[in-house]
Amino acid sequence: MFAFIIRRGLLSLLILFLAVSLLFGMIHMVPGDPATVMLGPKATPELKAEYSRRMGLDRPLVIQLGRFYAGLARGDLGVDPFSERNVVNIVWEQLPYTMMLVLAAIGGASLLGIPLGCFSAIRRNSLLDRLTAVMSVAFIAIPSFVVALYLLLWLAVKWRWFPAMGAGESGNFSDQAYHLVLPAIALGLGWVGYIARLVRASMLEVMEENHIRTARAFGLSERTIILHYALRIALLPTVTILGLGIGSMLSGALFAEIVFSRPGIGKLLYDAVLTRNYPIVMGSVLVTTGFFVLSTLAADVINAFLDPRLREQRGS
Amino acid sequence: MTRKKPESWPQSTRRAFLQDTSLALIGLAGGGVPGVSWAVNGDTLHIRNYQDLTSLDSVTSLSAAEGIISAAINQNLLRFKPDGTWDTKLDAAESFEQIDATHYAFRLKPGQVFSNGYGEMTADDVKFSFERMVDPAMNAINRPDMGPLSHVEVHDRYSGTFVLHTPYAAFIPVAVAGPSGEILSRRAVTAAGGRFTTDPPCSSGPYLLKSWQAQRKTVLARNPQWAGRKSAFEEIHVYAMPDPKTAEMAFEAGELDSAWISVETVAPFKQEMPDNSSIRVLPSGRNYWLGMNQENPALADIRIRRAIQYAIDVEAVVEAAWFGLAKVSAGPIPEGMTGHRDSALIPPRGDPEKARQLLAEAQVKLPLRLRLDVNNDALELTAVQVMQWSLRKVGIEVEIDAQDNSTFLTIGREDMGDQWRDVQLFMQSFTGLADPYYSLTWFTSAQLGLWNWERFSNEEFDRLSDLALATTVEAERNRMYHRMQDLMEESGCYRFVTNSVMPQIYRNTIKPAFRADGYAMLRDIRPADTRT
Amino acid sequence: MAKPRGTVYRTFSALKKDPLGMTGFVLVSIILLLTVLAPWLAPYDPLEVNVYNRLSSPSAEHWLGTDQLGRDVLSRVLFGGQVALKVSLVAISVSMAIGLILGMMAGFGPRWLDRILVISFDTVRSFPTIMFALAIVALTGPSLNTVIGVIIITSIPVYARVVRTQTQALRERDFILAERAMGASTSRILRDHVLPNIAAPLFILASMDVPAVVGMEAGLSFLGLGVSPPTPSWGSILNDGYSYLRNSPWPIIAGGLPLIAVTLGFTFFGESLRDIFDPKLRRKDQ
Repeated sequence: MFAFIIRRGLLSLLILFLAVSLLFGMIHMVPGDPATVMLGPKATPELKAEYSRRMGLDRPLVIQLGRFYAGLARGDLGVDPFSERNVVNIVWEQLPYTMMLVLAAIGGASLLGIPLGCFSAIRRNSLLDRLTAVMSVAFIAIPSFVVALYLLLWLAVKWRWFPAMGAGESGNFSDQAYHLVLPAIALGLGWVGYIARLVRASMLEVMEENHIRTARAFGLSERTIILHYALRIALLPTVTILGLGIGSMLSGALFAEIVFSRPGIGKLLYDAVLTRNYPIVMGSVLVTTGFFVLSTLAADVINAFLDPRLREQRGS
Repeated sequence: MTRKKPESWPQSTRRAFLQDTSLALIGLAGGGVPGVSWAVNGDTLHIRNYQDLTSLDSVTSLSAAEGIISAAINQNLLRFKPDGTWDTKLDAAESFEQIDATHYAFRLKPGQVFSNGYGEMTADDVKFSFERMVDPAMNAINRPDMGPLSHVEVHDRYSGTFVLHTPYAAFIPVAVAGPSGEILSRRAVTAAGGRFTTDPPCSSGPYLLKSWQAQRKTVLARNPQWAGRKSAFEEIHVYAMPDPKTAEMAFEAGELDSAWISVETVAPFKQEMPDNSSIRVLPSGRNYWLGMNQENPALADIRIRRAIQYAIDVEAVVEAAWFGLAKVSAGPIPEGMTGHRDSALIPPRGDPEKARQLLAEAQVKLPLRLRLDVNNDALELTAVQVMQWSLRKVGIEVEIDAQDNSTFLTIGREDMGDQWRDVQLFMQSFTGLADPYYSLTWFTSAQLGLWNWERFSNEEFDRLSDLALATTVEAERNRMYHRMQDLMEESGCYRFVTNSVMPQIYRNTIKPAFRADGYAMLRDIRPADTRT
Repeated sequence: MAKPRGTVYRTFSALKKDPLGMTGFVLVSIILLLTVLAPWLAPYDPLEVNVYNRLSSPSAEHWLGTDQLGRDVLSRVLFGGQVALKVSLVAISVSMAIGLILGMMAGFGPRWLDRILVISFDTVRSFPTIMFALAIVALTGPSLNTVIGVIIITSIPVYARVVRTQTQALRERDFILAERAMGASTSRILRDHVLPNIAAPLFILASMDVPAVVGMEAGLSFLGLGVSPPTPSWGSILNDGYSYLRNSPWPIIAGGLPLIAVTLGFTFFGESLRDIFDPKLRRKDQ
């Protein structure tokens, strides 16, 4: 098991390294010169050279990449050439906004999805079960930015139930939570049905298993059986999927951040690409890609713990 | 919403005239509606700024966003009147006069102090502030604002003389009254290491910089040592809000007292005006036009360029993109400034018949296919799509190539490879300063391959450009600038669109003050109940 | 995809018993029909500008109102379907073809090749899609082809992984081992035995992939990275709507509805197909 984790971890590192290096190369091939963007007509050759030097752009790509990784090893992602602030700090400041959004989305979806799935499993073929089945299929694929736009249009602009933009006053928890509602719904809606479906399926499977039957035979109440035994076991695969979900949601968060003008890592990255602010681009690429790779890794490892058969198959 | 740059972002500056859009994106922390408290408290003014600041030092500051703030914490010898004109009045100076074509004498008011214990403002501080701008060692980004300034002679504690190498018509509006002419304390700046960014070592204006949170807000506080009329607010909170949508919502929520809003929201706002508010649509200093690269083979024939000029219905363009709030312009020089033309040679609505005729004369095989480069920005995209439709009606099929600002800014530059040769049509916009020379300086031959992407090159234009800057007789300058804009138009390289507008919404609890190019003047905003 | 008659019959009789699948089928048919017939159905030229009648609400002349240039939103929505259709057709078939080849190579080839391919799939999969698209678009300029390219690159791993798993499973099956023993070439085995066996799951995957691809195109166009103006795409209609949100809600409503319809239609239909042809997949997934 330990060997598996090590092997899987190294593989993840390799993938992260490849992805980040590739994107590094790509973004540097893009035309556009940050100094011109920044300084406009007053971008004299000397000033442009100075900015290029500050960002290390005067070196060959391989050296730049090497420096990037060398810096990374020291926990240093460089300095934003414009504000002269540390990229680590800038990324670190934005990360909580996105994490909060993703957690709220996943959390909300689980709060709705797990009881729904549980109920569907117990009352198979009831109206609610069927509705859940339809919903789980229906909402999964609707692009989250369309949901976001509709929510914005009605709940924020037309009826003004929720704030339309921003992340709320810093330090004011309830205000921030209030601002989180619509983007989290936009991001999490598709997951409600998905989670319900997963929970339902694994509940059905678990309920057939021997120890549950034994519990029944012992005369434990249905309620106790479901809450204490069945659900607990049934939730494990769901947790795995949720782990995976967090990784892939980072990308989806970008749209919610744009539509609702929220700060966050997606918006940071997006804006930095537009201004060719290379240090920030690389910093946020690293974080997003890293999260994705890490959550995949975590999901794989948890899976392996749960199901030793998988370990053998996926080991390659 | 940074995906697009709505109309209001790129509106730029006296200084870097077109890159603000992107500047708005730099740094990038925070964003969104920052933590704001309700703006009901009469002691605090809450106002939107269209982007964050990078530097308040006149040597390195880049945009009007910074000028708005630095003007409130510093003094100039002269400053603009808060009446929407470019007229100036005395600020730190007790007197200011031109002695001859290259000499200007000033005398400071006594008793004006720099904060943080840096003492009284003296003529030596003036000398320091201006000479560091032209000092080659400083490599000042805003060096060009100073023109042919040579040095400052100090006569006594309060008085001195500016000495110029050659006459410079823009000396007062650009060098003295503009943000480059802010007076800093020699002792304070030297103690800070010779330059600073967002942490000014002292101030001499009605407000002090209390705090700056990157990408969120700048807080100004009343300067207790200020000798002039008591500053109106205990504090001014200036929020960095690049997205006008955010600002509009924040205003509606009562979180702002004043905000620059986008043109398309003026009508909906007027229909459903937030409580106790007014909107003023101010002229802006930003000029938009369609440029044509005359060195591109497809546009080498002047008749084709003229045909394009005639084909476009600019009235419809302005109606669509500026919601009819702006006027069709006749050139880069805005209304109210020397050299402004009342009408262009080509009628605003164009003349499609004439365009077809010119195309026939040029024996162009229709449909003629051309590419139009434009910023990926909602307002500009709307504008070019109307042009595209106009051009289609005369047989020119235009393909719109929307690029992000960073790429767009490089398309005509020679130092970025050969792609400048492929540039055909493009929509561009520059922001002027308080003097007409700045509006036209980008079209000279010296700017070929830098900002002159039309490759417009006219010897008379270049000569007049220099001449007009060295002439101080207004009537003559006026004539020269008219001629220069005629030359631009006759070359077929330009179809002028508009000088744009800047809509400002504000609470009726304040009495706002705006510069001639629409920017707020923090120093002059007062509560509405104060008698002035 | 040509199918024998029996399959079509089987599909329909199964669909009749599955109301959700039928709904999906009907939705898909309606959308396809509207899209293909857009040039005849659209009441106006989708590019026709009428500045003085902009952002109007729905009326007898303009059923879905007009956009900021006074263009008829209904006509734009109808023509927008053509963009979506083109993108999904091209992107899915190309990425499926490449995914098929790479997946079979990984599944049937030597172990080192498999490893390299799997690592590259995972690498591409871990790109933040939007970031990847931004970089590519900045490199090549926004266009429909760029969008298609981005979607192809990011979808290949999805197909390739499925093909790889299926191929690996088949590889050890008796009949393949027998063929091998009889000296059949690898390419022959792949063509005659592996391909037919993985075709069904692949096509089902493709039909389920349509909403994702259409959504991606719309998303990129929404960010201004997709079709160049004035070409209508559902994403660019939403983008225009977002810019002029306060002036008229109709472009957003009109641009979002077909996206939702496509999503529901293809997902319901695809699920139903999957149940009919490959019940195994379903069980595994649940």
